[in-house]
Amino acid sequence: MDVDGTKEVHLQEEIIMDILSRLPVLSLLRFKCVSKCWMTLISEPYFTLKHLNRAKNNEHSQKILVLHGEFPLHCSSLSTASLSSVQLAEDVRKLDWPSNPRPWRFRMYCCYDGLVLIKLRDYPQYARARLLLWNPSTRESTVLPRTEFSLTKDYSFGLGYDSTSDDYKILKIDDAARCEILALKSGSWRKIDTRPAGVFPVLSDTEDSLAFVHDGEVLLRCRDLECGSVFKTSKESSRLWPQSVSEPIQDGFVYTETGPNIMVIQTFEEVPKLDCPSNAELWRCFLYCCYDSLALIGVYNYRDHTHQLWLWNPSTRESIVLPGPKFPPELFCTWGLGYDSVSDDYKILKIDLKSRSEILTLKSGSWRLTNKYPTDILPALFCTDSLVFVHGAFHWIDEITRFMVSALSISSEVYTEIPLPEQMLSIYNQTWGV
Amino acid sequence: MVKLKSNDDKEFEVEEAAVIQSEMIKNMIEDGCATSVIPLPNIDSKTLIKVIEYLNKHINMGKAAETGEEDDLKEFDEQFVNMGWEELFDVIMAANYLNIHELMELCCQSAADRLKNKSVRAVREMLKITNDLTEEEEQEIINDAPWAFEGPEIDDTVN
Repeated sequence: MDVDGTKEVHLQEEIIMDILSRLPVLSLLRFKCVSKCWMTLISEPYFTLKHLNRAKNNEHSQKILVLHGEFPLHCSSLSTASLSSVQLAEDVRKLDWPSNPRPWRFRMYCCYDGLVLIKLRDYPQYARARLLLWNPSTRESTVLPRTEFSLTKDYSFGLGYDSTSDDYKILKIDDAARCEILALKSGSWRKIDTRPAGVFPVLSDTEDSLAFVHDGEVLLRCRDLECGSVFKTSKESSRLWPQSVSEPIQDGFVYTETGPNIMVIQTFEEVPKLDCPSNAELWRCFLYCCYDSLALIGVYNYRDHTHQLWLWNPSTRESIVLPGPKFPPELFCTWGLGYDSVSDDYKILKIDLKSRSEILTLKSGSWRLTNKYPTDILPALFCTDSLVFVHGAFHWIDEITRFMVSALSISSEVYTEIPLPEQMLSIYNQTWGV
Repeated sequence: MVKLKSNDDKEFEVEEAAVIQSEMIKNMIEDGCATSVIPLPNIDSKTLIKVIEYLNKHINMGKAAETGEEDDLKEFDEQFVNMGWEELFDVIMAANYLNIHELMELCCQSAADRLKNKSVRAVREMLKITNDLTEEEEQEIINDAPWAFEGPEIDDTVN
């Protein structure tokens, strides 16, 4: 085949694409320079999608983003121990920041599919806040159109991908329950006025991003119901569903509509597998974390303030009551939910401020202490209220001055530590993306 | 036994259990089209020998996990992909044609690992790709992401 030895290696485009889709973005940016053919190939949307799908399944391409002080923004790779790829946000390319060279401060809201939603603010003009969608791998960013409602109020953002319209959508809800949605392709915000009045979301500091679960659903908590509610971003009507878990538990209780668009009227009897004592009255509930379209929810009983843990599937509206942990859940403990493919079981990890950690395997139905946690370290779990579950391990930062990310493998239950870049002095916010 | 014929008219006998790792041949056997010799006009004998070596080693993949031969298999794979670019691409094309998923994965990942930190010049030379970009076009790409072209990890050697 190769007669003269200088013959170009001929490969079908499909095969080149397969090989290139396994490379990190940095290599791809460089290899655009190899030839016209490679440049076209790497720039194609089909290739981008293929690359993204592969990267999602590859632990080496997982990145942790850490916002450091006011500037700069570090993007560090989680899997490499050296974390050599620390890069500064001042290098953000194509940043279209009007006139002012340096925004006063910025805030990172949420990550999805390697995109990050960031708010930049100019000092001292609050009104000049801008929203950016940033791709840390390519360092490209786009300024998003202005929102209808001002950015000075408290609000939450959700970022997700809608496969129906093949578009990314951003949902914004403020504390007056006004929400608007931006479909990236359309380029303008749309108010969602079908939302019921009188339902106010609870947007605490720890919840400045909305949990995006499967099928374009966004979860949030509401004030008057103290409930988990579900927004469907893929449905144009964007319905708010007060779910079964929101309702006071009384036999035969029927929730009455408070607004024109609450779709679901449901009694607790209709919830399968829900095994709840009849005298219980819901006081408050907390959405701890989500995984695989399951949500871990803490429920406080009104009368005696007892606490129950529920695992809830918002899609089927099934929920089960989990056994109580050995140590009573205090306000400041952190939860993680993940799936262990080795034992084919879901596991829930709980760590409290006294560094006591315990784990529940769903099939066994009982909590076990994981005493391997280094006892002299008191976790300062302020960065996140849920343990981040990626690639078969829970991750969290327990004490920021140690510059370490702790990880617990879900199947072997072994603790490991991953160093953070030493340059970090303070960390405002911490979030994770693919 | 199944008989395979390379494009330079050499015949090879392979156990059916090994050869059905190729989806293409598996389908042919199921459809009753593999009664005599199966001609493979896209594959030369040198490449076919490599592919058969892989198929024979990976026969009963499921069993390896039980008997603890996984490490052995891993070592074989590492040795197997230790070949020149042209040979590797011949095997990739054969694996693609014969539709052997595992072999395709192995070889493409190996190719990607080798390319990962290479400089543009090294990639062109290794894969014998002619640069058809103008200097301006090239500079534009570099200006778009200069950091991708700098760094101590970039390897300019050709191998």
